[in-house]
Amino acid sequence: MSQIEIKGVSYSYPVKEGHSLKALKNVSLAIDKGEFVVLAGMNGSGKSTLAKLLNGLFTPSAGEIFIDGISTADEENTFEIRKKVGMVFQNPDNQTVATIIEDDIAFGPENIGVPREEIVVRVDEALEAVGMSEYRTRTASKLSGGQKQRVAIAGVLAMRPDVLILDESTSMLDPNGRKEIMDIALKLNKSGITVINITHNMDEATVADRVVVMRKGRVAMDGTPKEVFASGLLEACGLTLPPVTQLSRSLADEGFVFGDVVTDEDELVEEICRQLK
Amino acid sequence: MPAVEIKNLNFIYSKKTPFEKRALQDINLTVEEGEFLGLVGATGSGKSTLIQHLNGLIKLQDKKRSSVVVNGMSATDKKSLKKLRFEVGMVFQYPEYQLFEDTVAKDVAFGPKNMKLDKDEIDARVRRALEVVGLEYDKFAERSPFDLSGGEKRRVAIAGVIAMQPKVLVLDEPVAGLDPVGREDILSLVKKLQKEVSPTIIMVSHNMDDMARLADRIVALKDGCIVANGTPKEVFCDRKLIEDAGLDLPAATRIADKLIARGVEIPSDIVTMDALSAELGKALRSRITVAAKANDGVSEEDENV
Repeated sequence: MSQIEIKGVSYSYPVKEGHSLKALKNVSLAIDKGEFVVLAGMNGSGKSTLAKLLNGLFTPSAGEIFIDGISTADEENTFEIRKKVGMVFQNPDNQTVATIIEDDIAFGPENIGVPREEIVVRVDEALEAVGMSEYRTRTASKLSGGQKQRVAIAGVLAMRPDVLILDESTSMLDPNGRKEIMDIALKLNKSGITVINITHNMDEATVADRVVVMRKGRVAMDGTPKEVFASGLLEACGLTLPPVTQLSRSLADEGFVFGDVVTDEDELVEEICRQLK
Repeated sequence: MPAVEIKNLNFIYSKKTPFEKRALQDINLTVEEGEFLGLVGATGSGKSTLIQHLNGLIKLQDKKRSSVVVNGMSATDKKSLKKLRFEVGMVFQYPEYQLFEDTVAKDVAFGPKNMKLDKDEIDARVRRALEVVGLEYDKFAERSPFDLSGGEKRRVAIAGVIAMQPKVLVLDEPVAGLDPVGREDILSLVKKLQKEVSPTIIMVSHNMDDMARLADRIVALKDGCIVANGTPKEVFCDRKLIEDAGLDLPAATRIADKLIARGVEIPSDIVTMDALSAELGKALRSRITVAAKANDGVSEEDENV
């Protein structure tokens, strides 16, 4: 059994009386422990709804979701699920609860009754993991966007989650902040945490093990980055190829020949040099 | 007359407190009418502080030495301030968060109403603004802005600004948070607005690829100072400056650099993917021609033998 099992899940938002908006339609997916999955799709495709279903913020209108075999639909499991699945949102300013950074990170473990000595250890570890140890007694409001998101990730890590969901966590950051967060996500993934990164930045998709593309509430594609980029269906899903892949396409029109889909910049440089020799 | 003229502009936040922070330092900047100016710089470099001076949202701290003049109107002059705000349209980050009315038409009409225009003129402007941003009037006018998609909401917010028909349009990261298709839509909308409504555009962005493609001129800020001011080619070709300012190179320039380092003969001033692709195409064709000639030579020799 996979760590995350999504079985025939639908979800509707109530809009007005008698009306509802179907955000997810019969979605089935299985995600294994340690995978780095990018969940992509245009605005309104249902990707954030799916994320909110994964840690029990929403429960499915139909179908069922299991995290390590536990159903999210049963309210008794909510605490257990939230411990397992941590989530970082888009706007870093909406996720800080305390003024001092170490207090903010301790907030989660305090809530689930972790003993004080253990909290101290967890806060240390979490700050270390995101490279923010020297800031522990500072105020969150004076940090840059990237640093704030790192603190938000630390707050999630202090809960010792098995799964980290980044819900467009880089979309409000500048390029440096974006890189900081991606580096940390990759590092955490190497240490065994499952990462689900929700994004429409296709550069971020190139480093994932697997890319799941959502379209109108359904899974439109599911494969490795290369498979998804080669499909030719990305534009129909409101997405674009990563810049490097786009360049390789227009180079093909100029007469260059590429055997496989190119997603890596250095790989492209190598190939161009070879063909110009 | 330039559209925007900024002289000796300084700004310090929390002045005379322990948190004092100098946000702008001796800024001198002129933007000509019809220019598309790209404003770049790392977070905290002073971009937002600078643009908020353009319509008097931030007051000048040293009126004696510094001045901000837009289309001949001073941002310090209280009498002209209101007029100035109609002259400079501000599209802030995530402008859809500022939607507040219960219908799209009312929201877009808010600006023109404040201009005390008569009702027919207001209606005409609302209609035109919605059409320009690509929202059909009859379909959208009576809908609630809160029931629209993210991209549509952003269009409504932009329509609300251009309904005032500002001569200068300032956009702070207008594509932040949009999906790739939405991004392209809004960027081509900005180009269209420059042609049809606001001839002078000042756009803030972190995306150097967009800037290289769209801007006539790029101004880079670092720690409140202007560290670069020139065409995309001039600015991005100064690699040291780009690095010092904490900016990224456009992807095309970065890839071109790697290729040049490997001995590929292409110009060193490439800033867009289209240019890079065309140059590499040229290089490939000339290589093929050279190879063909060499082959011809070989076959002739073969015949001689």
